[in-house]
Amino acid sequence: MNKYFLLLLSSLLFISIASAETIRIMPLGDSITEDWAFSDQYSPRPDSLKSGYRNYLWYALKAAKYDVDFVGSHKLGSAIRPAFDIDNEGWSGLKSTEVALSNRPPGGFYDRLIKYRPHIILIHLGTNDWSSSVGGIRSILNEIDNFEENYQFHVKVIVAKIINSREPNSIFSSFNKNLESLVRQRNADGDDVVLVDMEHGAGIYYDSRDFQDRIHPNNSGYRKMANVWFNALDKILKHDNYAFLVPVYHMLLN
Amino acid sequence: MMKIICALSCLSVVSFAGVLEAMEDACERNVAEACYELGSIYQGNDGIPADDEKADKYLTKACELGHDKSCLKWKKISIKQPGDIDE
Repeated sequence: MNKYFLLLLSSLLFISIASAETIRIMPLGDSITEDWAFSDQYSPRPDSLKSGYRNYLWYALKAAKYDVDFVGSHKLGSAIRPAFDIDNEGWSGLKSTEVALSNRPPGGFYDRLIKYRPHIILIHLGTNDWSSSVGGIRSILNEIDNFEENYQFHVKVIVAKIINSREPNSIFSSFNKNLESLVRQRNADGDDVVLVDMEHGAGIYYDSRDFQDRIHPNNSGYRKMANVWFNALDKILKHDNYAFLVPVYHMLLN
Repeated sequence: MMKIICALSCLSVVSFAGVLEAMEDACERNVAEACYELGSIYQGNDGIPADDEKADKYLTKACELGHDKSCLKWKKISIKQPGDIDE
């Protein structure tokens, strides 16, 4: 009886601690997460003016009173007002295939996981792959699994079906179809991956209303992306009541 | 000396191939869609100065790879026969 009482007590204690912890969110991606556009090739904006979807997502999370912390080694957007958390892992030109296999992001993705210990990772990658293969995303998920196992730390992954180009390109749609299959398979195998649909679920207009060039959204497009991320995060942070931390609790008990 | 070596290696770590380079890589791998996007970008109006030579090069390659829109765009519609590809 005492054993069960202690278990219950420690359970309640842990859940209250977990619930009080600031949730670390790592935005991982390419130029669309960094907020780089083709115009930056010849007239580069300062890093302090780059925000993409990240500032809009931050404002939404703060308006909903969530205690969150964006994490990552890239700091972009310090001059944007209202101010927001500028930390991220968005790197222009980054391919999904590079993340787990090379030193990109700088320092290496696995080391970034160790350093920042994100509770949630937002992945929007694949645009620079120019391939329908989702092998790169699979490698990233494997790397996260390794980190979880080695550090007994649970990470919730939200991976996006990537936005298409302004003039929709079949290669991105094929990538997204394969991504859907991959996520279904990973979850069936016990992973904790949420799929969000940026391609068709964000309400993005595939024309100049939501794009600043052929590949990169404008502020209107980024706002729509932020809405998709927010809805997924809101569901996790609010409705799931941080249930993704429960496996850690079980590990602690064992 | 060590500082110089470190500075160089650090630079190499943070020096990313950009979005355009990724597209060029893909085009070299004969991904027609990437060649098409590149050709379209070099036609101007997307923040990159127009470069007719590059636009022609990439759209032609995309067309040769069977990307119909590229052929239409560069007004090089032709009924292809086997052997026409490298003309």
